[in-house]
Amino acid sequence: MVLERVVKAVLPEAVSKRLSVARARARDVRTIVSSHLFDADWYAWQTGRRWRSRGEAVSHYVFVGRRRGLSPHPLFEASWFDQSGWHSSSTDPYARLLRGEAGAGAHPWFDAEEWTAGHEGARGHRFGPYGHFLSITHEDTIMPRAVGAPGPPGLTWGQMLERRRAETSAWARQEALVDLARTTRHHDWAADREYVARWSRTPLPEVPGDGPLVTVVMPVRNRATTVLAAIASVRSQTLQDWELVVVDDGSTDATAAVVEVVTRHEPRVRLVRAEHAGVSAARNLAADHARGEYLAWLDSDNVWTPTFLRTSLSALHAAGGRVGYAQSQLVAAGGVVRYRSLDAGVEALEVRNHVDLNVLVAQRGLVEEVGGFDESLRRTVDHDLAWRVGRRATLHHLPFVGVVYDDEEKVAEERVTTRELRAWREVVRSKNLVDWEALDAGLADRVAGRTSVVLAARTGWRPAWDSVASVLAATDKDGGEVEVVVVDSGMRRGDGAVLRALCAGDDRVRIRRLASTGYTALAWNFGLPHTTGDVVVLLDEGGQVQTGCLQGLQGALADPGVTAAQPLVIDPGGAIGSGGALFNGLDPLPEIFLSDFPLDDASRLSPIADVDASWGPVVAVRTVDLVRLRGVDCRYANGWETTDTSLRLGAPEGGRTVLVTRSHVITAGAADARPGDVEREATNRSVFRDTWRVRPAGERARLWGQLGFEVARPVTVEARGGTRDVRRPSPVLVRPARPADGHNRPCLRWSIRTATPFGKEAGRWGDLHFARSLAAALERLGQQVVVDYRTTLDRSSGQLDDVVVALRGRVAVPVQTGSVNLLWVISHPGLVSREEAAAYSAVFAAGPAWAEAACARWGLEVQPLLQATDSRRFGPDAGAPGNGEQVLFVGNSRNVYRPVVRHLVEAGVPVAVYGGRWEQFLPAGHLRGDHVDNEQLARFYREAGVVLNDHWAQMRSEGFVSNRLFDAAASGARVVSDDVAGAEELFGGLVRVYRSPGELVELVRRHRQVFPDDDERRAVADRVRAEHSFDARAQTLVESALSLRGSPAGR
Amino acid sequence: MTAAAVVSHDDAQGDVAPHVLRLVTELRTVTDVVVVAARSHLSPTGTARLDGQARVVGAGGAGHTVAAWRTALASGLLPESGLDRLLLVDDSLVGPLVPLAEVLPGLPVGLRGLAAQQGPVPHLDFRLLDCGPTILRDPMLGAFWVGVDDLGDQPATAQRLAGDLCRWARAAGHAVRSVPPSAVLPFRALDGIRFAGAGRGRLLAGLEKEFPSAFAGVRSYLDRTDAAHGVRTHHAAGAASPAASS
Repeated sequence: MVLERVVKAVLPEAVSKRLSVARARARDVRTIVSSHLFDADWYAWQTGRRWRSRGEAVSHYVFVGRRRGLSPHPLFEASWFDQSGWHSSSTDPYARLLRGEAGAGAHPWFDAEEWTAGHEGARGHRFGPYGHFLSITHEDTIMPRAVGAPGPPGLTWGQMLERRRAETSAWARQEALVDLARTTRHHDWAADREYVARWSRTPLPEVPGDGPLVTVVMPVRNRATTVLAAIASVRSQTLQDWELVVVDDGSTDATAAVVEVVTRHEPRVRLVRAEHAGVSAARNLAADHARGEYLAWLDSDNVWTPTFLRTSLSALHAAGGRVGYAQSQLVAAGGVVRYRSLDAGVEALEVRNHVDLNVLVAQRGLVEEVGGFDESLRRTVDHDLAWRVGRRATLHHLPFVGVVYDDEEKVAEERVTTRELRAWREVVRSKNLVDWEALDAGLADRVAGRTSVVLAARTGWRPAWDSVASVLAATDKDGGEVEVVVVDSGMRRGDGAVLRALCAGDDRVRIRRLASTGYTALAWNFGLPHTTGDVVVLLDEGGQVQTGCLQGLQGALADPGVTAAQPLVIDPGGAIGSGGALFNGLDPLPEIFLSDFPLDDASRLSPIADVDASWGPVVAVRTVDLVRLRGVDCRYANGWETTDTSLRLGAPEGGRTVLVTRSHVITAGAADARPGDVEREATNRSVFRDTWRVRPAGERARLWGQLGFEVARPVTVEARGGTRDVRRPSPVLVRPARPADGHNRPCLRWSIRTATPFGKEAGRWGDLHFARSLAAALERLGQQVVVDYRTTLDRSSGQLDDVVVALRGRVAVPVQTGSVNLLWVISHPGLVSREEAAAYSAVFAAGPAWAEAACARWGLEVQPLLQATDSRRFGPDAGAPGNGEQVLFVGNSRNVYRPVVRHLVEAGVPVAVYGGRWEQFLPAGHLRGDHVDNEQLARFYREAGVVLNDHWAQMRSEGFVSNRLFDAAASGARVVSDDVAGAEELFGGLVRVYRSPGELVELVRRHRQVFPDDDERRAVADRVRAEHSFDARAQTLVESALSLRGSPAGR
Repeated sequence: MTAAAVVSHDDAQGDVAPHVLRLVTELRTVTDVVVVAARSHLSPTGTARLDGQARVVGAGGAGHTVAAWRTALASGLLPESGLDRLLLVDDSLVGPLVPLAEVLPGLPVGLRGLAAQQGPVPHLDFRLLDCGPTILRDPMLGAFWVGVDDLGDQPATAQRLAGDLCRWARAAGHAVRSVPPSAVLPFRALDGIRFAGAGRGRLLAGLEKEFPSAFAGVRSYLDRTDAAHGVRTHHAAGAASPAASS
């Protein structure tokens, strides 16, 4: 300890931190080695290396392997155990499991709780249930899994091992290609010389006709003096039977004149002059002039070794081959020499190019069969050609150096490399990895009515699994034929393994792996051949498909005029991320429709609305159309692909892109900032601009008009969302004044702002239902209303709201500058300060007593405005009294044993409770459900013998009558409540309050006697519905807002 | 045997500096004729200095050394054919410090010069290229001169073109050799001194002390031509003349 303190004091912080990490790692190694639970064979399989000892393998795992996603045991995945920091945490997840530290579990297919439930002593094992399982498991042991957990049912340990080995071995084969070093430091020159000597003596191929054996193709542009060395290296070949076709690609210097001089002295050289059309066109033109049996290509800034042609052609001829490639020597600045040499065939081309065009020779007929160079490519054209000839004929590796690149040439090569997009490589991979002709041929066999979701999984298993699970859950609800093709596009092994484990067992899901990418576009194209449906939904990882979404998209595509359908893309906070793309006629880039608007605005559009193009990480198209396009354009790097695709689909015959407003996809991040793509945004935009230029304005004015907006100025730009540093076009909107339909007052735009977080749980928040009911009432008064979640309070479109109603509960709601701001305190009044209240144009409170006190205390006007009931939902006709629970309580426990329930349960009254988090309090038999659907609530109240109610203590004392009382009274129920001021007067005998537990029990037991008869209850219910409806409250608010808009205090 | 030398010359004030005169004199010891290709206008004083030493050709349109050589070669001042040796030289060389015949003895086999880049594929420095008979008789050399453009960024363009010439020569089977390091030492490129920054004064002083005759007049030449070469401040602490400071 003393030593440690001394070391800490003496060493710089960085060094001491490194020391402590090293100590932690050493401890992890000891833990794993001593456990004997490290599967050395399994690990060796993944690494492709034999380890001298278990200790060496464990050390490699702890220090290197884990970060690469390698696994120490078939029953362990670090990415599952530690789902947030598995590759970055300083302590090893496996060591942590073995030490009994908390984590999510060893593997998705192993549930420790399940195992422990069936095996006494499992928990007492030195390595917990995990160690116990491994100590007694045998081939036929069924994997312990919780009911409903993802994965294949009834899987045995033996089957699991078999699956895991198969999956790992497939992964290892792919990774071996990725890891192949394209260059080496060493070259066996003795063998090289021997090889060259051997083939210098063997016969050359016979050439029919009078053409030369080989035509050398050399494109050149503006390299007047440089080209001479290249030509000289052809003239210096030991093989003499050649012709050289130099194509001048529109040079503006003396290049053509120089070559002209050469041709005067060397008849085997021919010059072809051409307009500038790019290197591929020049090479194809040269090939058109070729007469040789073989073709070889030499760039104008490179030189061959003198024996290149002789050796290549002899060796290739002897092997009976049609295409072969030699090696290159690369001399870097400072004289460092490397050799490009990979005898890896066509498979390795799937990952990257390893064939250098300058040392490739091929039969001219073979090159003609594949159609020569692809002139649409701007980069990696050589990769494309090598791949295409390699798919048709065996690529022969010729082990000798055929070309030497010195430093200056390398610099020149890099210039080309940086000038054009890196993503061209992905374009080439898409062309060659996907058998487009086979896809064409199979179009007729596609299953009509089946939707194929192609999911790009790029960054980790979690976002991909969220997407898959959302599709499966939506399909389980909606029905319909849906399949999911997940493309693992080069994720780390551990992520891929967990995703596979989670998806296994559901035959609607297939996973295919693509080595080394990370680009969405290629992943989508790569997934296409594995789909069978006639509609394809392209989805990026993290997008969660909501109920009804896929059916909506498929339905939209049933219209033959529609070629792309896009769902409403929703940001995680609940604001709209994208409703498609709209062009404004001035900027080549589109505006994103509805970006940062609340969801309610979309519901005002027609269910299927025409937009100019798609925008966002998801789009649905017909498979036949996408195959005809040859897929998504892979020049786009994780952004803009769907926009480009929808435009290309629409281009030939005016096909339309539509927004399906009821189809929703919630994204994991902002819709305009997909994972890892922000830095590529500028490049994507430039590709898009170059491709599409300025397009005429389309649906923009019409769509915004449907929402009551006019576009005030043609265009402006603003920064927004995840790409704050990138500006994009955005419309300036105004809302012209207009009268409310059927009312003698203006139609204002209202935002009702709640503290409800957006998401699955939102429906359980009373505030949200309250807001929805109020919104509906305001709309009946001719107003335009949106409801905001806690997570959409800062949306930029808030500036368009005329009136903001802040429903104040537990969370404060910021005021909106420029709007009439109304604060309605409906609960938790103690949290409201004078300062907060003073920021609003007017303040209302649902507790009259509190309102009066606040007025006096703050010197501000606080108007009483009681809570209300939705008179369209709650009424005495909702059910028949006596058919429901005798004693009913609806509500969550709030983690306390709420007294109104406790007193009755303790008195032996059969209370029926519906609500969450009650398990810890209630004896058996009382809890009937975790919630009551809002649609059913009125019937539950009406049919119950007696309904129970209570309040937060402060609410009760301040007179905040709960809205449950309004709802229950409006339903004509009998209600027993804690003592809140004014309740008995308000509800005319339908609500009785108790002041002691004894009084509560008495009221409940004698409810038939103490409450009025049903006729009277009905009459009171109707009065409550008339006086305390949301319509009445809406009327008050509208009057207040209108008067405030006219006054200086209103803004 | 017929040997010739072409010197690309650039002096903003039209003079011929002492180190250039010494270079011409040295070239005359191994060649039959020396042609000075003047990229800037030569004043009567400058012309007079070369009188009887070298023939002068105006190369005002040449933006860089290689273009100046091309102008000289096309001027008719050199023998039309039968040259066995051609020395292509830039006036930014100071030296040699020992007789040129010792540095470049005999006839070159192909192309030789000072090494610009060492390693497996050496390139020669553009300031001195010594061409032998095989290269001079290769018809493709004519194609090279056709490709030389007047415009460019001296000395980067000159070095790039020298690289192309070397690469062609090598690919065409000619020998390309750099002279041994001991032979390189006697030469000093002026650009290296001119742009030496704050250390220039000390560097020059050292050289003046070690090689007094070769560096006589170099300091004043640099100072009076600094402005034309874009050197804006006078670096040399304690330098003899502040003429070029601005």
